[in-house]
Order: sequence, then structure tokens, then C-alpha cells
Amino acid sequence: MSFKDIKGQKEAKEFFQKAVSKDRLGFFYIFAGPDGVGKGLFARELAKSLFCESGALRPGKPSVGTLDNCSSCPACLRIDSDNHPDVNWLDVRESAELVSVKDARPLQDALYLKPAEGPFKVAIVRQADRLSIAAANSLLKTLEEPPPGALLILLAAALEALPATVRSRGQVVRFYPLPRDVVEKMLCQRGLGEEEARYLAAISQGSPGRALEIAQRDGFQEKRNLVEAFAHLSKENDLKVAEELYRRAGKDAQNSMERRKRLLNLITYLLYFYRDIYLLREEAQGLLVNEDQGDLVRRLSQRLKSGAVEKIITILLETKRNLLYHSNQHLVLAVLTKEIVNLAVP
Amino acid sequence: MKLRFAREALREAFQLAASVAGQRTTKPVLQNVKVETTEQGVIVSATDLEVAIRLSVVEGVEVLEQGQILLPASRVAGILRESPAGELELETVQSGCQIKGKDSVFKVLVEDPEEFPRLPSMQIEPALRIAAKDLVGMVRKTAFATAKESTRYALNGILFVITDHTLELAATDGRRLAVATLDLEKTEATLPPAIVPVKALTELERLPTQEEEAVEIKLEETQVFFKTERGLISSRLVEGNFPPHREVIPKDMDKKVKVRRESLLSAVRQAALLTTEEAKAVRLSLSPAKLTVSSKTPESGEAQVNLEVKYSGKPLEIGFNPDFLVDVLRAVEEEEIELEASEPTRPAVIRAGKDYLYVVMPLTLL
Ligand SMILES: [Zn+2]
Repeated sequence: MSFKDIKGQKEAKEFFQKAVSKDRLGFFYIFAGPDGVGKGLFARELAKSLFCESGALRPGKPSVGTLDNCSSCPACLRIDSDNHPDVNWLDVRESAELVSVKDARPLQDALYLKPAEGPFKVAIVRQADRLSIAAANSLLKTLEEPPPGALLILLAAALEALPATVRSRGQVVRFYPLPRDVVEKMLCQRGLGEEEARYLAAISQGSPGRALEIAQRDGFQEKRNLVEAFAHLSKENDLKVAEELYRRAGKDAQNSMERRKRLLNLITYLLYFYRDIYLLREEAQGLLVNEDQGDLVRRLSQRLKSGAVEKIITILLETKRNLLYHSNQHLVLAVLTKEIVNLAVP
Repeated sequence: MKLRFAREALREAFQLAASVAGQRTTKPVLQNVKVETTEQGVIVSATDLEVAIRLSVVEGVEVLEQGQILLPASRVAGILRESPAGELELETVQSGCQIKGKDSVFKVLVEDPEEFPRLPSMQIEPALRIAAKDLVGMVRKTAFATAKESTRYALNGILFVITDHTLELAATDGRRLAVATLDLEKTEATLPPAIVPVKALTELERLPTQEEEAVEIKLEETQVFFKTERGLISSRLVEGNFPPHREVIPKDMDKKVKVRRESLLSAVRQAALLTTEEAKAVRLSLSPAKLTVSSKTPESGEAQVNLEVKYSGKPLEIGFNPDFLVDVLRAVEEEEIELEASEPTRPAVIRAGKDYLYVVMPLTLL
């Protein structure tokens, strides 16, 4: 992995290229953009560029001038393996509450020691939108008199979730979703099958990170099973399908929050499926997201009455809302399958 | 790499290194202790990226094959602890390391030594050399006055000031200041002041030293090194500026009294028994020939302890947080200390010998 392997994000690249070549690197940046589009990768590559020892990239000596790195010198390797003393990450534990002052403390300590190898010390906070206000303010305090060489980077999906004091102090660098074909190609390179890559690229909204996350938990197969089940929904099996859906989402889920998150994912798969049916009916063409199960899409688009698909899509959107607010998830799902059956099987 | 060694020979050094390793869990490679061979023996090293420790072990270790290896700190420390005394053999084998005792054999998976952070050289060019026990003593008399977890990071460390004839250590948390000095034989040059994290200095105390052994100190722009015969400790320095502590030390104190340290310590402790967390204050009342330490709280009652002193100046009533007095009275060793004050609202000074002083802010007494 190296800078040139980062896809897209032209704006961010140009921004830092300019800052670095003019020797005007600031000390506090906020990388804002959806999860999984490369903010973390970019931060790592930036850090490597600052520390890279390769003489080829930096004729002369450690004057910063090039936004690139060799990915093979000891400095680059140690940054890649999280073992560089002057590059520190704050990772937010999944499902934890907000990051407290205490959690942020080690990162601050690292900023406030003189650099081990220098001339920089980089501190990167993942999911900075989960910083508590106290923790964020405490980090800002470190930067009131920024220690020489300090560079703090906050990675955030939702800029608005950061305290206003933080937003106003940092330089915001925007990260954008990637084009669908780029994501698809990346997924293929990672060894995903063509059908799977196409599907995940379509539903991940330009975020290869999110697509890979879905791939990791076998989301594609899960979606195929789901589509299969809903395509064959009948008055005899609708309650069983709902139950199976509920059970599947609960499998390996640590808590009800996680189960809800998974259910919402499953409903999203269904939304894409019925969207395909709708497109096919209305426009009789267009790229199907569920091309891998195109037969089912086509069959249902012929069978469903006019108006039924729109209603099903409305019901699915309502189901998403209900899952957020209702405690009885099982019941919400039973209602969903019942309503779809009533619309689809007259 | 292959070593044969007496368990006892390596155990202590390994344990010491292991205590530095692994304090930061985000960097897995740091949970290892590095062992490398030298001409005469081995060097055992660990770092948490703030502090690095290196210990040379010569006696009781036989190098059969040169090399270096990373050993998972807590597991191997455990193996050395649990193995019966006697000879052990450590050898690099495919994908790991084998530790063999008389009746036992362990195969431990290990990480690549190339991943380990750079370690400081065991050879340093020292700026000065002082007795290890002097340095440890100075640290003990100042470390307690550092701030704990202040966002003014400079206050969490101890200031080292080296001039051509003295070494001075200073620590303050904003409400008190401790300064220990040591006369030096002429040193090379005056060095810029450096703020050293307390952690490195507490490790220093644990380094095995012989009676009368010296410690060499070297200061660089970003790091400090302490070297003894067998060990080396390095630490990154703290950023920021230390407050101008010399300016805080009050002069023109008109009330001075000498007190036996143990007596005052005991008196303050007794008076503190009846203070509460909300009203943590003891009152020192100085009058001719008498020093009274007392406390009074509505919740728990009153305490009063009288000490006989040689004093003939003006009377004074002044309040302190008892912890701030107990800390200093426990840290110094002199039989007699000198208490100096002027007004109840102005800082007081405690001196212990000619090389130590402590400035403490008084509390307003109700
Ligand atoms: Zn490099």
C-alpha cells in the first residue's frame, strides 16, 4: 500500500501535496467523509510520507517536500505495522460509550513527549465523532500551544457530530464516496467474485471499506438467501420467513442494538431488491443491483400488480423506522411479511 | 541464537524489562522483551516508547550461538519465575524459541525482531557522573511534588537543570514546589533545562546498583539517558516550559524555627486524624518556645499537639493541607528541618539541609 494506491480523493491529495511542498503543514486537520472511503488509509500514508527514509523520494534530507513514500524503508514498515513511536492511533472500541478523557489520554501523552525519532509526531483519532465533549476539549487544550512537530488528525463521518469548538479550530479536508466502477474493481482485486463485487459496489455507496465489511460477514450470500425467500413468500410461509429473519439477525449478535443494526441491513437488501423490480417495471431497463438474481427480479416484476411494488417499498421504509423505535422486533417483521404477502399474493 | 544460563542470572533482568514492556497495548510488538547476544553475555531490553530500559547480563550466561530474539514479556517472565532454579537453555527454532530445563521444554511463538523500535546504544558520552544513591535521593525528594495528570504537561515531570557546578531537580504542581540541588565537580558545559517524566526516574530507582555505584547522565534535545554499570534507561523528554520556579521562592522570611522532623511529622499526622476531606487543613501556631499543630472541624471535633521549639520571634498562625506537609517530611531524611514563614497568606518554606527546599502555599483558615 502506498499513496498511489489510494483511489480517488483527488482533492485531499492535492491539498496536502500543496501544503507539503510549500512546507506549510498545519497541526490540526479533520478528515470528514463517509466511513470506508479511505480516510484512515490516507492518514497513514500521509504519516509515512512525513517519516519515509527513502533517499530516492527525498533527495537531500528530511526536508518535507514530497507527498509520497516508499512503503519499504524501516520507517514506512513500522508505520504500517503500528509500531512507529511517533505515529499513534486512538481506536474507538465498538459499542462503547463516547470516548472519555481517560481514553484519549495516551494519545495526548504521546503528543506531549518530545518526538522519539522526529521531526514529527502524528496522532490520529478514528471515529472522532464519538469523542465526548470533554475529551475533545482536552485534546484541543494540547494544541493551544502546539508542541513542535505535532500533527493531530481527526477522522469523522459526521462533521456535525464534532463539538463546534473542534470544528472551528481544525482545517477540514473532505473525503468523498468513490465511483461505483472503481469500488467494483477494488473488490475484484481483493479476490471477490464478479457478481459479489458488482452487488457490493452498488449498495455500498462508494465506500470500499463498507463493502469489504459486508463481504467479511458473508453479506452477499445472506442477501441471496433473503431475496430467494422473499421471492417465494406465500400465505403458508410468511410467519416462518419472519421468524427466520429474526433468528438470523440475532445469531452472534452481542446485544439488541447489534441485532437491530443487522435487521436494518437485511431490510436494506430487500429495498434494493424491490427497487430493481420497480425499475424494471417502470423503465423496462436500467442496471439491476441484483443482477445475480435477475431471473427472480424479472419474474416478480411481471407477477406483481401495478402499484404493489411502490407500496412494498413504502412498507419497507416504514419497517426501518419501526425497527428503530419498537422494542418488539419480531412482531415488526411478522407484520412486514404479512403485508407483503397480502400485496404480492392476492 | 542459543544460550545456556542459570535461571537466577536472567530472571531479575528479564522481570525488570518486562515491567516496562507492554504498558501500551496498541502496539503489540512492545509487549516483547528483546534479548541479544554480545561478546560477553546478553543485553535484555524493553520499551514502551516513552521509556526504554536495557540491562546487560554477563555472569551466569553462556552464549553458544550469536543472535537476537523477541520474547513475549509476560509469558517468558512467567516461565523464568515458575521454572525450578537451575540451568536453562534458550534456542531459536523454526518460527519461535525453545526454552529447555532439566525436565521441561517450552516452545514459544515469537515476533520478528526487526519490528522492534530502535534502542539507544549502551555506550553514552555522559555530561556528568554522580553517585546513584544521590540521584535516587534527589528524585525521591522531588517526585512527590509533581502534578499527576495535569494538562500542563510540564508539571507532570521533574525539571533537570545542569549548570557548570550544580545539578538541580525541581518539581511543582502549582501549589507546592520541591527543589533538590547537588554540588558537582566542574562539568563540561551548561545544558539547556530538560523536563524528565517521572516514570523514567522511578525505573531508575529499580536498577540494580552496587553500593557507591555511579550513574552517568546524558541529555540530548529530545531524550535523557541514565547509565549504570549494568543498565541503561532512556526517556523521551516532556515538551513545554517549566514555570520560572526560582521566582516563587520567597525571600525575607522573618519567622524561622528549627523542628525535629519526626516530631513534626507525627504532630501533623495526629492533627490530621480529625480533619475531613472537605475541610482538610491543619493549623500551625507559632509562639515563643512553642509550636502547636491543631485541627478543628464541626463534624469530627478538635485535635491539638504541642511541640517545644526554640523560638522567640513574633507569633504566627498559618494553615496547610496536612498531606503537603506529610509528603515532604517523609521524603527527606534530615533529623531537623527548618520552617520559614512571613504572613499567613504567603507561601512558607521548609528547608532540609543546605541542598533542599520546599515551598508550600498556605490555606486560608476559617
Ligand atoms: Zn519509506
